[in-house]
Amino acid sequence: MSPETVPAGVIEGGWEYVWAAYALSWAAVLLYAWSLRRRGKRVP
Amino acid sequence: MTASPPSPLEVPAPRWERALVLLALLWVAAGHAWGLFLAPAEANMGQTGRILYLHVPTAWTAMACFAAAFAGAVAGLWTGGARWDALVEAAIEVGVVFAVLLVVQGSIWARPTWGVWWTWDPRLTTTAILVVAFAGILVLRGLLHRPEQRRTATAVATIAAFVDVPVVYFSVQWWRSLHQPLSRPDTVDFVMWGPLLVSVVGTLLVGAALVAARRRLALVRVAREQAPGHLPDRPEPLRLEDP
Repeated sequence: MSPETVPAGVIEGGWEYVWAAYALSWAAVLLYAWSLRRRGKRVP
Repeated sequence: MTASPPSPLEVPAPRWERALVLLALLWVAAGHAWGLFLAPAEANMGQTGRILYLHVPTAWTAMACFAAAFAGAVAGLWTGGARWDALVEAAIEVGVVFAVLLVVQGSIWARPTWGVWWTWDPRLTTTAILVVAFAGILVLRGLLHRPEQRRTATAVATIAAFVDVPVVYFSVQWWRSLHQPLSRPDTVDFVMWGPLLVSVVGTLLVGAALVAARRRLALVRVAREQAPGHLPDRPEPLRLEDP
């Protein structure tokens, strides 16, 4: 697609995708940090 | 008298590590808050462009982890020191966590922007290869129970897998790609650099804190394996003697 045929404009809305990405990432990192803490306690 | 391997009580998180965790959380929270609530919406992507302040720092952190693993692998092969293996193990595991998040975030961003969750674009494909390669090294480590064999195999595989890191980075220049170009001053507007840089530093600090914590666990294993009379976690397979 040449630059002339790229549709112009702004994507409307999209906050739900933004929140999903941030929430999922924070949750995953915190869960991984918590798993490290758990694994540390189980080391003999 | 022989020294017993350290127990978790003997290897608590040092004070600097706790301070690093606190600093990292505050820093990344500040960067994300700036990007979510204060930065302007992107000219074409609108609000979905705010995922940039999460996605780019995640990419840099994943690449930094893999670079640390690569450096540890080279140093481990060069010196033969077992403690380098702890860094390699930690950096790969944390790197895989961030790389998986990178793919998921990219997928969430791609849906409203490109209209698809996934496409076999060069940047996406090379990143997927990176995730599989480094996750494969973690699987390989689980299969090898002789410490020396595991260290060497991990180091060699890490060096081989790291070849994909510059390929991922330059893929948007080398091939025709839907993906955004490299994030540089000439491709990112000035007002977006503030929240982006703060988020990058914060996420790198989070990655460093996780690698430090994971490395402490790995060092306990290294100490246990180096203790006199240590046996592999699982017995070696029985072999028939030559007649």
